[in-house]
Amino acid sequence: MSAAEENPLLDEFTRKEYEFGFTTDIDADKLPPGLNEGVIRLISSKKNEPEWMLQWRLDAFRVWQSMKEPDWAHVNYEKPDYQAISYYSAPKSKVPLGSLDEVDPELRATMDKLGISMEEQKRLSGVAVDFVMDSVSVATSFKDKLAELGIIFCSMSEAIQEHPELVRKHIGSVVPVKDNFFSALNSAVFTDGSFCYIPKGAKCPMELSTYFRINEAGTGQFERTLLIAEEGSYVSYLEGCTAPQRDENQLHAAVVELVAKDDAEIKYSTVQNWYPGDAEGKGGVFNFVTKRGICETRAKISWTQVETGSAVTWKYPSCILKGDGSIGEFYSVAVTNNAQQADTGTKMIHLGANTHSTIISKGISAGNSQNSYRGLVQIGPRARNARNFSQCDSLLMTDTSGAHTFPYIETKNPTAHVEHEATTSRIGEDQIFYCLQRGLTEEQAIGLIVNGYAKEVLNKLPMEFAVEARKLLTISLEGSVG
Amino acid sequence: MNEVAAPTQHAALAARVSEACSQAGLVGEPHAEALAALEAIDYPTTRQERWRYTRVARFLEVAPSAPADLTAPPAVVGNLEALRFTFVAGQYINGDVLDEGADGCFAGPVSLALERYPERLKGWSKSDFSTREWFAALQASAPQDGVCILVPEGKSLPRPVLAHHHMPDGVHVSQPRDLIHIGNNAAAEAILWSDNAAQSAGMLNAAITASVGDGASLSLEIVQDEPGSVHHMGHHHFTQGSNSKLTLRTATACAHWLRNDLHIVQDGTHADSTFHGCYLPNGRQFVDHHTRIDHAHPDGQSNELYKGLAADKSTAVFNGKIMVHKDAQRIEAYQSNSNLLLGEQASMYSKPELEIYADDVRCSHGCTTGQFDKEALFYLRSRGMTETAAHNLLVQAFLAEVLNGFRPEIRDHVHAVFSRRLGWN
Repeated sequence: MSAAEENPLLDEFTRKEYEFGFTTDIDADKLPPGLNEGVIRLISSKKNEPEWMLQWRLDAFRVWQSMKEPDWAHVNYEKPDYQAISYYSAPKSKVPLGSLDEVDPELRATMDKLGISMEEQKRLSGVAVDFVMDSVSVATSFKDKLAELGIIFCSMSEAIQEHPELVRKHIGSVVPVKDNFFSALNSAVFTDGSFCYIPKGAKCPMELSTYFRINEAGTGQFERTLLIAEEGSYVSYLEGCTAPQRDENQLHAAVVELVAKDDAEIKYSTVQNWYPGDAEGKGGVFNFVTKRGICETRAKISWTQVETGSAVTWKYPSCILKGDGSIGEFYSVAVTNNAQQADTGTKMIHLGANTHSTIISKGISAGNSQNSYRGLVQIGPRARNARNFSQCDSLLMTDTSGAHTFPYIETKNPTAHVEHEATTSRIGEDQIFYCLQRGLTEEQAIGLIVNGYAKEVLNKLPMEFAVEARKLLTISLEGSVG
Repeated sequence: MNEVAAPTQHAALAARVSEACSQAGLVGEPHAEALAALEAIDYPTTRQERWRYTRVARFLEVAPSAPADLTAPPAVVGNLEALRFTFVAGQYINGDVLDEGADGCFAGPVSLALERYPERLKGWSKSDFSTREWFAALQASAPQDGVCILVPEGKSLPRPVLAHHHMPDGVHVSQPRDLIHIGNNAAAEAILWSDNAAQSAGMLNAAITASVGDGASLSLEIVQDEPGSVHHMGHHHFTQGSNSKLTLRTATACAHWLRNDLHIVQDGTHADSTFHGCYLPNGRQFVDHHTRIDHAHPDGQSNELYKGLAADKSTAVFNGKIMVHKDAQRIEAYQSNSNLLLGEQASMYSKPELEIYADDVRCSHGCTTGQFDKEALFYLRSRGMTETAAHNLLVQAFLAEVLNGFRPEIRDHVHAVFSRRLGWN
């Protein structure tokens, strides 16, 4: 008996079309496909960048040329042709924006479809949204309010122009150019992204948020995010993604760098819903992201992610716990469906004494997907009394999907305590039976169980985001999950 | 990390090893596939996932000589009643051969089994390691003598078999192969013991290949008590039929440099595998346990428990993989790895993996690395124990979960070795 006959709900959910698959028609200023030094010089000059930035990009390009695309992850895909991608595309309708009314109506419509209408965001939730359409920042709000506190929140290209000393000091300090194949590529060709600077002692009063979208067909998007929290400051940053439906694979190779100085705290939350491809896995986004934060003394970085999209995910938000007493956290829900493949997890690198880290990872595999957790916990020789707790649970919804766990635990200090536990199971028939008895439909029952399963992570999301995340989870598992 | 060996270096090593083993006497023909694999497979480096924590560059320097001294070492666990076989540097010395004829049980050296029952040993040197791993291919390209246990359908061995592999003083290479075949509904118990002389060096590249038939059971205890400075590479491959039961316990009592590759394949439904291990490197020793179990059929069970501690400047590695194949439903697989890190400069690398392609399974793994429980220490010290005595007691308690599964004679021996090495009592 096939899975479809066995469970019509699952089947329905598996065949569900991607809801956010639509395309906005805006003229884009776009380079022809291909990558060479000329393209990099062109990107740099289009963005009117200083010489040091160009040199940095060119150095990165040379490094990238000498590197090989990694193949150790538990994913299987046709490697993109890096010469067939256009490395720059910017919406042409670039007008100075004082208010939302000046934003291109087409863009506005896109935002509305995404359910992130800026007015609504502004009015209801007090979230400043830096909306990135393709690679250039289009609208930014609440800037003035933030400026009062000395907080800088702008696009990366703006930061390079206006705060070159900050960018120059920190860019590549957490994720070095040579770190990996995709970070080198990103360093060479990144077009835009977000920049955030929280001055000493400032507590950012609102959740900062950015929405990314890949728009132009065949355009790779290379975001660069840099977030610096000075001594004793606090910021919560939200990042959410949806991408329109495309038939050819789109590449997303972002780099996110977080710097948390002494006693600072950064909370970084992501909801990722790039287009996952159709039921056979055709199309869909390749999400090869390098995210890493560095914690100075008593600083704290917390990564929370809800991953529901992308055809292939390769993503390990990490913390370098450099300072004594620093804390790293990683909370993740990864849902894969159809032919999606995800290899995601974290790295907790304990260098300082009394450093703590917590990893909670929840994987849900449906359809024919493959969902892997890959995590490294490394305790350095000087990390006295370091403490780590990891929990990785996997839930299997079909017998054609796979759930895998690859933890790496490297301990070089005898005072460290490291614990790892992982379980893999499916939703128990007894659990569903119990819910059915209480008058729930099977769909509601599965929804209840899955939401309960992921609750530990969803609860870590900021209020504004938790609603959207639940919605996403619901949409992703619609038909089988309420 | 610059460990990439020039091809000529490891080819030269292979040639030296082959020559040394041939001089001492090979058993059977080198396996053609293994010879081809030896050419095709790259020499392991830390860049390869399976060899990430295991450095084998030093092997390239091994320059073995043929052993001159082939006297039998003193018997181990003398109080244990068993069919005993002694091998020195991969050559058969003496033993209590059991031969019940063509349809009966056989226990003896592989060389004798090949002579008497070649048809029963067809394809005997096949092990999937030998086509995947360079060192296993090296072993299969110049195999030496080991114990052969053949138990036909419905029979069982009257006594346990104890095969004792010994490496004498000097720089030698030994590549023994132990072969165990348990027919359907048959049963056997065996102990595979390896030890070394104090001044021994070189390489012990040993393979164990076992198949356990439908409804059969095999209980195997592996003791590795190796002072000296021999590099030990072990390739342990087990295949299980339906309703079979495998109990495997490995005690690495002492080892200068050791890597065990264990692979269990459940090739039938309702198979049951238990595999436990313990290790305790100190000084600058290195111990690496790589295990993998393949649940290829439904309703299987497995229970894995590895415990160890790393003292001084030693390094311990554990890599355990549970693989549940597609349609292998209702699997219950549990894996646990606990480690104590005792040395300021000791390292512990643990990688417990799950790879699961079926949905109706119950699989879990747990892994801990830590220190003594402070409260337990305080409790013992408040009862008047010195700190050292309290530590030792806690270490013994920590290892007891694994050690108590061995038969008492072996448990006591391993315990004594640990005591001597870490200065307990």
